[in-house]
Amino acid sequence: MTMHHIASSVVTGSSTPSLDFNSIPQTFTHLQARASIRMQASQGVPYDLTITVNGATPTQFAFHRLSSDGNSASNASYINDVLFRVPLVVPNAFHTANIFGSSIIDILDYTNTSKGKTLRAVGGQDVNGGTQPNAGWISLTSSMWSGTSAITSLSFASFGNFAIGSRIDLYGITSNPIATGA
Amino acid sequence: MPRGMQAIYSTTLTTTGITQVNFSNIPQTFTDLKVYVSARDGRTDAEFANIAVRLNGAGLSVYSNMNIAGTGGTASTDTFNSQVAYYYNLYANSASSTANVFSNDEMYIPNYTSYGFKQVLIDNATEGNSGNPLLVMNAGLYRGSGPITSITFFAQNIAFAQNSTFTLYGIGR
Repeated sequence: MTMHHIASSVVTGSSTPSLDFNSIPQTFTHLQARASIRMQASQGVPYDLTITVNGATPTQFAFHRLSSDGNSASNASYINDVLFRVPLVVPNAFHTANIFGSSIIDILDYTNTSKGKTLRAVGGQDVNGGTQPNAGWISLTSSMWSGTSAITSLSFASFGNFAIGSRIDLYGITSNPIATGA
Repeated sequence: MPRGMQAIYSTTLTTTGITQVNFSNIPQTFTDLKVYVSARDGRTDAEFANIAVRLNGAGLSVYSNMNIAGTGGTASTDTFNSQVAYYYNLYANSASSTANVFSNDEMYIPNYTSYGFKQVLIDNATEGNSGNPLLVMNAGLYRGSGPITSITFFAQNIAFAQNSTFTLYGIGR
């Protein structure tokens, strides 16, 4: 088996501003986070999911998104950021009750100290109506950190506190092949 | 016992100048195939580089695809029927993009052992600290009739950079 559960962070209380994964094992090749999240605060446009790396705010992050709000496709980017960012994937109190945004986030070669780290995410939510942009979104996102340090911790946050029931599950993916001679 | 996802082949390039990575004799014991590519290319005239993907060594006429892409302020879409110039494309960061940053690409081929046509789903991310990295989602149709037994990745511009990685996974019940 290649994909292994590392840890889960589940919101059970009303004062949870971040979902944290510390001391991430360095024994896998890739990381995958699966998020189902909602915030308690209220804003028409869904919030961004932000990810602080290694407990600090090192420089030179960037993100880029390719999105649809149901009416048209759009594209946007932001550079010189201080954290990974997965935009527009966090519905909140403004939106239909009990709607949680879903995202699958892949970070390749997270222990490789010769490479920067690039995140790729597919995520979004449908809220059964609303007037854009205050409704559903779907996005393919990339976000990069040019730093070459291994990733040892990830802290997921957005705006305010997560809603009860939000969760993020972190998996490690190995690359030990079962075949040889490629 | 469920098989889940297992790595079949994994290649990390330890030198520069490599232009081709080939996974052959792919076991026919899984249901789906998935590939992760984290690559960089020596190209200097754009922030990304093309990686052609060839299945079973087949010629150009059996590939078609449609995509949605973004390179900056706008999104675009395109279709390529009965390809005459390209196989399926993945994308690598280029030498012109932010230093040390490699692409994050995923390719998924369901039901790869069937004798029917195959759908190929691709997500590409060549992020960089500039306004113009490339994001692409691609749905392709491979009209070859046999099971997928080999996948070859070609650097279409210069060559893959050292530390580029290619990993093939099998997903099975």
